Amino acid sequence: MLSVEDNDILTQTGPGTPMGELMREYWVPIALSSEFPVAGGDQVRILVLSERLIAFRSPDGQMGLIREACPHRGASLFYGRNEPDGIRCVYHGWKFGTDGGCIDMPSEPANSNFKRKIRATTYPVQERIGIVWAYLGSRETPPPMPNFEAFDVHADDEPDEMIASAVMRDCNWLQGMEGDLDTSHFGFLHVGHAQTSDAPDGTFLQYAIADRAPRYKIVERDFGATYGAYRQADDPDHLYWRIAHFLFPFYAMIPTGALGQKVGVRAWVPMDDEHMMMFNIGADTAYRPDPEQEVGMWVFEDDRLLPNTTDWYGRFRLEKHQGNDYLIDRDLQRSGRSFTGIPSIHTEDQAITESMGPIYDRTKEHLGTSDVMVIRMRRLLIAAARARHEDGTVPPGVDQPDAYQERSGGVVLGKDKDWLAATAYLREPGELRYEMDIQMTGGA
Amino acid sequence: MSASFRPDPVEPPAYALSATAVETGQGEWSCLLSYDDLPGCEVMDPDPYRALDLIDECRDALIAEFGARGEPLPTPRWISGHRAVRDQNVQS
Repeated sequence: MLSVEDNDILTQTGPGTPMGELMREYWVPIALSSEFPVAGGDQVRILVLSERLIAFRSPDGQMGLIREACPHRGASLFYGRNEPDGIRCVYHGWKFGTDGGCIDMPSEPANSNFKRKIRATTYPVQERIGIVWAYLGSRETPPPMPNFEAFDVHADDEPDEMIASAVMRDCNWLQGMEGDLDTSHFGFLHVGHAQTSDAPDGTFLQYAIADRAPRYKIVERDFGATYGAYRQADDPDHLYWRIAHFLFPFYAMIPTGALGQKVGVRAWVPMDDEHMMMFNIGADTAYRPDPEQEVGMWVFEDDRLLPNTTDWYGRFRLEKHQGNDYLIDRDLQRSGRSFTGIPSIHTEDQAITESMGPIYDRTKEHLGTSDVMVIRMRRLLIAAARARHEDGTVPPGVDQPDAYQERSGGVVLGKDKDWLAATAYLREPGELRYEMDIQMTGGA
Repeated sequence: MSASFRPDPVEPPAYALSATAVETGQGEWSCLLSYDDLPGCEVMDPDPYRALDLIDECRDALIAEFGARGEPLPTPRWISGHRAVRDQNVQS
């Protein structure tokens, strides 16, 4: 279990907190580009790391991100006018450029130099791969963006290659992050109802169902940590490996699909301490088995979203939520065709992590061997946050953008092979590796 | 700002940690941890937090012994193995 102090360090990300300071060292995904479809369009309320910000695309097409409260008397710039060169508060007409400078102050005498003394808080933003990223840190020149392979795959002439999406979750960011690193839950939450005969023979899915308590290996890396969960494959001489990564400060590359055939990453971005936005970047390469196969990752289509509203918490909400018990179907649960009765893998994850409460009290938990990767990640985060807070140590990966060039997924290896050495070429960005038949995943 | 963060003050190479649940008695299970490339570095404890503390203490002690004997630290096999695979590719 964790101490109260350590749980607070991990879960509190507002300004001035150790984890908040750590996360502000990195570029942070804050919105989808599709939320700003036209230049000069409506601004959007963005809640990130407990800061209330207003994002807008100016009439000349530039993205801007400004603290909500007008520096004059605190009126919300959400109601402001999105004008050429900046945003104007409608209360007294003060106008601010995307760099925060006050460029017009019509409520004061025309020859007053007061406006030169006023600055709004703004943050640098850039758009990559359909996502708006912001730098909320203190460096005058922001660090480089993490060099995810997904950025390279998303060539301008192949705009549909990679897909960016977002889903809000009503709980602390760490609950989502830990779910991505806790591979053992797959065998229960998602396929707990299944028998080995429900999955095609010789598939990853069948191996995962046959052995729901895998063994683990973990290595600390420049970007965070990598784990491999392994269990026997078809014969005693081969192992099925699920290889995944935690990447500072809130990224995960998950072990689904086939290693070498999948490019993508997920970000678990705190909005405040009780809400997060999950951003997913990835090509839609998942193998979807025949619909008659009732287990596997194919149940992903039913994650419909409610229409976005302008509320701080009104973006990318699932139709299925705590208020309607995620539309749990008890008959389906009793039928043996679903472990949870909750349709869709993603919603199962969402329901369970939200059910732990807004901020889970980790002093009450009881961890086992299958939680070692989660513990390792927590310790890395706590150590890095403390080091950053106490003596300004730059956390992992901030100045090493290429450290983020990795892939995750499943693979079968001979028992005598080293799991990382043998998969280096599959994890290496560049060419996708199609040596393995994707059907071999079986939908795991 | 100072240099980049390293998670451990002795900065050991990144050895792969193995984690397995093992039965230690009737219905009693423990977390068995070991570092693959550090022979003898193996600990067991029912509490995985405690097991992680112990295994890192064990690793650091072993590394100190290597230092005291003036011997180089073992290269993690995932790194040496990676080099071998890369060198094979370069030769072919």
